[in-house]
Amino acid sequence: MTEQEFNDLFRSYLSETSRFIARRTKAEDVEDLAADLFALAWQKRDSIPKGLELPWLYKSARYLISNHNRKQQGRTSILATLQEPQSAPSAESIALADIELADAWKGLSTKEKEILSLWAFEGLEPKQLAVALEKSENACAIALSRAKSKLTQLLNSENN
Amino acid sequence: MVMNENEELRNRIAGSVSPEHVELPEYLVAQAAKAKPKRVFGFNQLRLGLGSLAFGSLALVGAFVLPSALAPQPLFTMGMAAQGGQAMSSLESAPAADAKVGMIWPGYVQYNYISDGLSSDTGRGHVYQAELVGTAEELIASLMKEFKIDGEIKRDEWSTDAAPSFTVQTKSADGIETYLNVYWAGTGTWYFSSWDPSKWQCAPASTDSKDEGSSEATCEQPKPEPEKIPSKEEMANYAAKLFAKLGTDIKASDFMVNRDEWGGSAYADLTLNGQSLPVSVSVGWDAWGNLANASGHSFKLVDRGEFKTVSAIDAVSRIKEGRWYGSAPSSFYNNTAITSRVAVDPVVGSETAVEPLPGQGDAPEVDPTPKVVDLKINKSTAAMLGVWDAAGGFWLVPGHLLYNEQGWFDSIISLEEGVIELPKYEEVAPMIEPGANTKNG
Repeated sequence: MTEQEFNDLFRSYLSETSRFIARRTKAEDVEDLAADLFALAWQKRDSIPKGLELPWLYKSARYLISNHNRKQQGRTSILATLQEPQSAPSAESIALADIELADAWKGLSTKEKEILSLWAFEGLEPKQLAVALEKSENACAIALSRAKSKLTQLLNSENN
Repeated sequence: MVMNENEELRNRIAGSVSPEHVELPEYLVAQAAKAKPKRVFGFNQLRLGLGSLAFGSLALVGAFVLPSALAPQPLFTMGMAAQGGQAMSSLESAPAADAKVGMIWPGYVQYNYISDGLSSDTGRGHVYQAELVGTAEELIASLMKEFKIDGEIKRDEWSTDAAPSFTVQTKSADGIETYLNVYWAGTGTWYFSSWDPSKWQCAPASTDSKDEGSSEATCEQPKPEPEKIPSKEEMANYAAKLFAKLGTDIKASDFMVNRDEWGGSAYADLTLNGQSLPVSVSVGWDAWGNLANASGHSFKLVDRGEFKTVSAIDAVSRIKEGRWYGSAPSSFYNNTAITSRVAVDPVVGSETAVEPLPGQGDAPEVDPTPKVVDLKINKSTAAMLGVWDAAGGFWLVPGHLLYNEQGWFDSIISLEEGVIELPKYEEVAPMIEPGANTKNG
């Protein structure tokens, strides 16, 4: 991939990337994280699966955000660095418009929040989720289905 | 969940949030393809006027050092434990290596480090940067002259412009093989060895069919001649003279000397203002009194300033982070019984260490929750620790050796946060190979 091709392709993902990162971290950190993300994409440009560049950006952004968040938290154990990256939006960040949903969202695990947000906010289907979350397509489909069911149950219990 | 409900839920989630819009500049992508400048300390900017420390005398020549408050950037970016590669072999790096292993294989034990009677006093400490002395060619020439080697200087396969590495290998008429290597980065490490294979001749392996199954070569153990091995005093004196000729002054009395019927060795840590450094020199003899090996360095120390340091209590909280380790002087290891953390911990049973190979039946149930073990840190000692920067340079920084009740210690950098840039988590987290998952695509 030439520099020109890279610019043409990845520039088209700027807005999605911006939104993805902005949902998961502070606004003032978005540009720095995005700059790191695109620098990484340039380094790895030859190994990014064609047609799945955006899910690949999400996958890598998860790691960057996760590492960034750990750094912000200060002292971190070695074990924490080995944990799976987690970059799900917090309940607080979705509490603005839908209080019921925000309450139900709090009842989800971080992994459930993450897969649901990738599905709903980023519009990913299991094939793309598989790239973003580094799991099989089947595992993502099952996890997504369970997360949706759980959220629906939580919403129903809120209403009752 | 039916399709309509599915889409309804999706839309509800998607419509519930309106994150603060962040307009990313177009050039963000374009600049990705340009080399991102590394935040490595601009040495040339500060070289003028800095005090330099010649290793020959280890005395400060100048005194002017830029105040740390004026330094807008970290002094340097630390490399990972493996940074420095070949040169690391001659420097003590066990704790750093331990930390790295811990990152790769966490095991099932999580230590909870507890300060027990440590000091809360903060302090100040100097940071020194190793600067190579002379040129690689000059060093090789002086070593070849000293060890009477006459051969072709070859650049090693793994040599790079930033860290050149050279080797001279020879075989004399009487069969003695010599090897000389110079690694021209960091501390300018060199290593020499001389080997007489005739002393260890083996009969060729038997091809007799009757001996099938026992085809190992038979080797006759050579007879040592300990009377030819220099005395301890002679070894120390020789070592002091050798390294003085090569630019490193160490008193004969500072060498640790070992001698038995199979040879001897003299070994010393370099020192700075009376403090041992994690940089050592050595020379060894074989069982017939011949010089068998020697190793040393060619560098001087440049004072990069005095900086605030954290207390021993605060340093304890850095142990877990894994990124604050430096290399302690070897003399500290000699005084401490270092044992594996896993081996000394009673909670780790063999059942957690064994992972069945594919096809060996069901994997045993292993509790993925780490066992938490409280470990008291009950003693601390100040020490200069060695660290490698991301560009392959070597630095000395102040640190605490934190001794625990199990008899080993962790060597933790005591500089306040921000003086140096630590290795990034990304370098140890899975994201170092984000492209490895392309099979999913």
